[in-house]
Amino acid sequence: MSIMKGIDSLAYQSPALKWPPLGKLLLCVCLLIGSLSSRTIYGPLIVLGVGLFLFYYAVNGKAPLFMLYLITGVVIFNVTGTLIIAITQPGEAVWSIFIEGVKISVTQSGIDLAILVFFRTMAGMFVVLFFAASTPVPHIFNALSRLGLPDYIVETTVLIYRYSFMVLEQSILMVNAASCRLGFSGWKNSMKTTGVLAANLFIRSLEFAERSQNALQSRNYTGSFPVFRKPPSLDVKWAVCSISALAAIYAIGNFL
Amino acid sequence: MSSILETKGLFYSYETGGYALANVSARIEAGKKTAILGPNGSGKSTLFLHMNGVYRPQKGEVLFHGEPLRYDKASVASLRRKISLMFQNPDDQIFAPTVEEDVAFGPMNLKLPIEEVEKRVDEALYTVDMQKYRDRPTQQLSYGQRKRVALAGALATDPEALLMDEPTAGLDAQMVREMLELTEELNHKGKTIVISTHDVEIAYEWADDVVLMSEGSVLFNGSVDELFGQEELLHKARLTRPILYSLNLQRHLRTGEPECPRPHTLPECCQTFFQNHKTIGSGTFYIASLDDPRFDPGVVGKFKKHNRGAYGSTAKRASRDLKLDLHHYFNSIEHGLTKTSRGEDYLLVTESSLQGLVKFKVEEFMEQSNCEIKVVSLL
Repeated sequence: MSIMKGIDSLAYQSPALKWPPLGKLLLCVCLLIGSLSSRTIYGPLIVLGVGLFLFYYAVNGKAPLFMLYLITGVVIFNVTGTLIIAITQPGEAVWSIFIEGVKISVTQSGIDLAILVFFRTMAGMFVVLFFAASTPVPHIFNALSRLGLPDYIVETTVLIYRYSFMVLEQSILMVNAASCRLGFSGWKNSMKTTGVLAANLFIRSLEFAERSQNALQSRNYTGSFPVFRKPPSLDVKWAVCSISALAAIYAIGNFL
Repeated sequence: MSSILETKGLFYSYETGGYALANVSARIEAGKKTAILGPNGSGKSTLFLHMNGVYRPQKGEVLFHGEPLRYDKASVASLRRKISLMFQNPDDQIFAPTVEEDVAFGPMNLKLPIEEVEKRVDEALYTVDMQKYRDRPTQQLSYGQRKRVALAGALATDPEALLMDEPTAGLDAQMVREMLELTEELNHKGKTIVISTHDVEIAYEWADDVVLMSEGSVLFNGSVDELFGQEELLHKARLTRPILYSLNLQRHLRTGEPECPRPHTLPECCQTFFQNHKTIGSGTFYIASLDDPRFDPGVVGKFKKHNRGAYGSTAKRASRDLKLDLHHYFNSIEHGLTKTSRGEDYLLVTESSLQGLVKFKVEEFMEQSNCEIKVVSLL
């Protein structure tokens, strides 16, 4: 809940909020493709640098604690994964160790691949974090509607986005109320309480939907949600910039 | 006075059974402040949903300006342009991701030109003092702020009448006063205001008329003083008399002094109770308009710290912007009347359009409590 709210807050406070969502999306996709298509480490390194810069800008130089935890978690997984890659590649061993009679060897190709994967992952993470920390969900879907995504999908998504916060708030209240009355004391009790909470949350959601339906009617809802402040649209500048970035990274990553 | 909304023999029941409304006939006078008073579950919200055309009566009819409501799309849309409903729980009403998107929802549905929508959103947010939050996601607002956004959303359609379902529920004391003052201001500017409440104190102090409801029926529809004289009706509706009303009644019973005119506010009550006590004479009630280009901020310093207040949403905001050292930001007219009736001078900072309302309130107080207060408009 706090992470969801936190990312949402970050996005709305980001200096990159007013950038066209589709422009950001295109840039991120180009950077990711550039990083993944690079056969050498230079491509991912460049993308990591750009991603870090964009992320730093998107969070206004102040990454909140939950974001740092998130990054730490990814780094731990990444390091573990790259270590496994390093010791599982075939080739001539450059370093070996015997553990309990089992020989574990690290090959040159393993090291190369592990480093490449490590930097690709880190680059991808910061690029995606930049996008998440600067683009609220409604902006993305409103932008996608311009690309032909049907209105009903956009409206449903925006409504789900809005109401998910309320359902989460409600669920926290219910969990707290159940905890106060020892609802989570013991495994069996916890299971039972969780089931009751889930059922009640569903019923409350239905009631909530009915009240919202009344509100929609009272406010002259005519079947579609009008958008007052449309997010800026994707312009040629963004397209040129993104595709140029992809071309440059591809060239550096493969021919340098 | 003509009625803006009227219900005749309204019946409505939910699927759960039993009548939520049973033979409800009520009349809302145009230009007045009306309180729909009743305990929880008495049918107040259901009545509001009928008045806004969301629910269709199973029997009976709703009249708008004397004409029965029609329920075709165009008629209902036209009704909702003129009658706005503010829901009790702001989360039921707010569904857009940001503040300005939500306030613009009603005007956009009316297919108004974008410039007009922009103007209305600005005005509505300005009225409820939420301009600086316009880009904020709605889920990041406090409950009081969401309530303001809900009000702004209702105001943005520029309605003739505003139906407010429990507007003070869940708010702190200061927000309650601010909300009531705001409704008074809107009423002074020509809007009919209807609130539903179970708070007898608010109804007694605020309302011109009352509709008393209990178990889906209307027990009373008339003036506030008339209602609180009928204690058996209040008991039937599980309500009590307001403190000020009861105190005044006790004064009458114990001293034999006339019960009327009844005090409805604290200053009126003080004046009624302590009229025989010596005071050093009445003070002067100074009124200054912040929107008057001749307004001199230096005048504030000439009054004692606790004898300065602001009234009206624009004046409050402007005085904060100007960093005027004022003491009362709500209930300021009442504070001013209490001070001036004790012989002190008081400065009330307001806006030109509300000067008439302030003067009316002071004159009403003087007439009610037989007290002479000098009113001076500062240029």
